[in-house]
Order: sequence, then structure tokens, then C-alpha cells
Amino acid sequence: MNDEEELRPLQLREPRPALGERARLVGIVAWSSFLAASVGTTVCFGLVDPAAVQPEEAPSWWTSRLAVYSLGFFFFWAIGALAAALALLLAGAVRMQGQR
Amino acid sequence: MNERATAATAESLYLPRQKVYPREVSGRFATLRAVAAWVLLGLFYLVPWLQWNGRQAVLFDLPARKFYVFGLVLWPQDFIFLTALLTIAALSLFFFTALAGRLWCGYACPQTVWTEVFLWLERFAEGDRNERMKLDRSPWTAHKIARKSLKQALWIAFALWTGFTFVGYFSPLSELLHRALDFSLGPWETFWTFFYGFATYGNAGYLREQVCKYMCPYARFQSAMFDRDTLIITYDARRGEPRGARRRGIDPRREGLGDCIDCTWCVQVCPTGIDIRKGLQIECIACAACIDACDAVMDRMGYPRGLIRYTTQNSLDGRPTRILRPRVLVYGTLLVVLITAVVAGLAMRTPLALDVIRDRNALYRVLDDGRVENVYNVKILNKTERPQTYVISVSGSVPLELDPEPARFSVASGEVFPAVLRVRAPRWEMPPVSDIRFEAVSVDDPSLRASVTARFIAPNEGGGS
Ligand code: SF4
Ligand code: SF4
Repeated sequence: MNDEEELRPLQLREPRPALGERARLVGIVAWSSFLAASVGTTVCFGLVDPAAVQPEEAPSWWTSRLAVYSLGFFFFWAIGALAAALALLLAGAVRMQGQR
Repeated sequence: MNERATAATAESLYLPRQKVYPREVSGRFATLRAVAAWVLLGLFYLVPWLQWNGRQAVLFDLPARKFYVFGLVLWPQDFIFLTALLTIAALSLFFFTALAGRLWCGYACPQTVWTEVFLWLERFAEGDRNERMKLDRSPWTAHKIARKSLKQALWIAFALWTGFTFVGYFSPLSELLHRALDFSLGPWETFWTFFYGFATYGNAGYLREQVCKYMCPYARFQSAMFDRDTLIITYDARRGEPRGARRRGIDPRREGLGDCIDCTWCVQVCPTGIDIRKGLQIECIACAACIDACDAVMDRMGYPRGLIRYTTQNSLDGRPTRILRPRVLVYGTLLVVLITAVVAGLAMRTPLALDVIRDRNALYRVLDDGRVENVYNVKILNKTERPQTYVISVSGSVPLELDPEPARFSVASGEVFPAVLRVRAPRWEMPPVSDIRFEAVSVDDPSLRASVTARFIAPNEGGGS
């Protein structure tokens, strides 16, 4: 499509997905990790009470249960997104092999 | 043309896509859908306002770690019930999917229901399908700006109210409203209101059918629950084909035509923009809008209704449909068992929990007078909504002495009270290991009791006396 691709002698990486496809992949990563984070947050804080495990010298963001729940949710979301993104990346290798 | 393509791009996360302009439809199923939407949304927006014994009736009080559902108060210790309820929800979804296809999608899924409302608002602000399409094509005149702003205002207001109501399930709604009115909402309450509001706005206003097509896990695996006896929405191709336009009143068979007049109404009303006449597709959310549309056309043509209808693959093929099939029976049985277990569990659940752990530091202690003493760490959890005083007693095969005596403890609502209890027994009468029983009884309400067994350890006399 563009020169960058023309010049490449070997196909060392997958063709870059088109913008629309990329947006879609980002969507998939964000959404699947969101679902996983919801489950993770529920189970985690269903079993552990942040107020009960609050350390003596709690970090400054540890203000209330609600704050810990919320930040915990984002933490799970980030970790989930990392896993989903890696999975997509590695799945790409499988797909590339399939094309050969 | 190019401009429109970019407009569509900016508008959608998943592109390129053709914007779907569902045509409004009326009929049996449209009414049913509207009723379902009103009931479900009514419940969603009204339930957090209900009061019960001076508190919000349904409140998932996350900050206090208590769930209130009318008379029932659930504590983190009752987590198992939550798990069971979620399992029941998932199983019912399987059950109804096997039986009647995507009933959930068509009538009950929040995605469908909120999209329906956003469509109503859109229709109110921008007019019907043709007017909306014309408006989107027209240049930005004052008229278009006015219509579009009205729509946005309605959507945003509705979405924010939705987000606010959502937060109201987790934090008492009337207090929340007071705080919102003096702009003193906490940062996280504000955040979640906007977050949920924005999600509603985006999903119901813009993403719409794309949520079902690309984002919904249920839509991906529902086909695994389908079989030839599942109720699906289909176009009866044997009756409809060959399709074609015709004048009214002619005999289609004589012209070599089927019953489909190819008016494309079924396509125009479809919220996911598919053509049901191409067969069942994964995009179909079984909303039955195409049934209503087609029935109206059949009525007008004087043909029998049901060219598009709820049916099963088997009956389409002229074979009998079985309702009771192994998978339906399995899902059904599991459901009944689980529901019975939850109901029984809730009925037998005492709002008092007693936990006794033998002190790990010493096996036993022999007192000067020869008696044996064991020490226990006891936790009493008061799950009622009032403070309670509990008396603990202990019993075993021999008379046991408890220290302190009487073991009376006042426990505030929702508190865990830790106590240390010493139990003494005459040494010569105790086997090396025996079970003893602790029981806690509320002073005010003797039916409120819980008991638990624990080990009592005594020195091993090597065969005794
Ligand atoms: S496909 Fe998913 S999001 Fe769409 S209506 Fe069905 S359950 Fe809801
Ligand atoms: S094909 Fe019919 S039932 Fe399926 S989504 Fe479209 S209008 Fe609804």
C-alpha cells in the first residue's frame, strides 16, 4: 500500500491493520478486559474488605472503601487489558503461520 | 459521499459501517417490547427510591459492605448467595435460550431496552426514518442544528439520570441527590455517574447494534445453545419465494410468485440492519420487528400472516417440534435444584454467625486443682440490623465450666465481636480428645441462635487410672 511496505524485503511482521481494524482491536482489548475486571473486582472485594486489611501507613489514595474498590477495578482492568493485548499479539503469530 | 464516509467513521468505533436507521413499527411484538421496556426501566429507575424500615429497600451498600434487599440483609459472609444467584441467572439464560432463542436479546437486554428509549428520543427530536435520513444528508442549517441539539440534550440528560440512578444502587439515593444538588458529590460518586452515563449514551445512542454484533459475549455463544427445536424467527422461504412486486388482488401463484412482495419493510425495521430473508443470521437479536412489519404487509395484501414468524427449524422442515429435550430438561433440573437450595438457604439462614477456634498456643493447661483448661478464640457476628446481646454456653459429655461466666457479649449491628473463652473440665473424666459444643443465644430473641462444635484436648493418661 505505502512505500514502507514496498521496501520491506522480508515480511518480518504482519501487515499493519487498517485504521478501522485497529480501532476494533483496541475495542476488543478494552471491552474484554472490562468484563474480566468486573468479575475480578466483585470476587476480590467480596472476599477481602479493604478496611480490614488497611495497613498502618496507608498510601494517600487509600481514603475510603469506595476509593479502593474503584482503583482496584482500574487495576484489574489494566492487567486484563495487558493480557488481552498480549493474547491478540500472539494470536497474530498463529494467524500468520496459517497464511503461509 | 466522501464526507458521509468520514462522518460515519468518526461516529463509530467499528467501521466502516452503514448507519442503520430503523423504521418504527407497530404490532403485537412491538407492543410487547414497549411493555417490557417500560416495566424494566420503570423498575430500574424506581426501585432505588423505595423505602423499607426507614432505609433504602434495595441497596448494595458497597462502602458499608452490606446488601439490602427489602427485609434481607446480606453480609460478605453470605457471598455464597451472590454466587448462587449469578449462577441461577446464567442458567436461566441457557434455559430460555434453548427453549425460545434470543428472548433475552429481543425484550430484556439493557442494550436493547436503552437503545429503544434512545430511539424514541431520537424520533421525538428528529422525526421518523425518512426525516432522519434526510436530516443527516442535509447541510448544517439552523433547523438541523436545532434538531440535533435537542436530541443531544435529551440523550445527555437521560444518560446522566441513568448514571445517577445506577450509583444510587450503591450509595443511598436520597442523600446522593442532596449532595448532587449542592455540588458536593464525592469524587468517585461523580466519576461513576459520568462513567455509567457516558456508557449508556455511547452504547444506546451510537454503538447500538454493534454492541450485539461485536461486543456481546452472549451473542457469540448463544448459537451453541440452539438446536432444531429452538424457537427462532424465520422467513418461510418455501412460501415467500419467488419474491416480487405485484399489483394487489392478483393471484400470485398464477404469476409464478410467492407471497413475499419484496417491499423490504422487514429490512427497514430491523435494528441490526439485516435481511431476515437470507436466513437466520448471528446478528439477529430476535426482536420480532420484522414479524410485525411483515404481518402488516400481509394484512394489507390479504394474505395470511406469518410469512416471517416464530418457529423452529424442525417445524419449517415439516417435522414435529419437541419442547422437552435433554438439554432443556438438564438446564431445567439444575435451575430447580439451585433455586430450591437458595430459597432453603435463605430461609434457614440465621443472622448470627459463631466461629470458634482453639487457641493454637497451648494444647491444654492443667490447673493446680487438677482440672484441664482449653482456650478458645470466639468470633460472634451480628448480622441483624439491631444491636444484640448474646449468651454463650458450652456443653459436652461431662459438665464443663466456662470462664467468663456468664459469657454475655453485646455486639453492635454488623460487628464481629472477638472474645476469649476458657473452658475447664475435671481431668479424670476427659478422654484425650473430645468434641464440645458452643451455643450462642440472643437474650432478646431466643430463636436467634447458632452453635458450633470444637475440640477439647486433655492430657493422655495412657490408658487411665
Ligand atoms: S446480543 Fe448481547 S447486547 Fe445484544 S441484545 Fe443480545 S445480549 Fe444484549
Ligand atoms: S431480523 Fe427481524 S427479528 Fe432479527 S433483528 Fe432484524 S428485525 Fe429483529
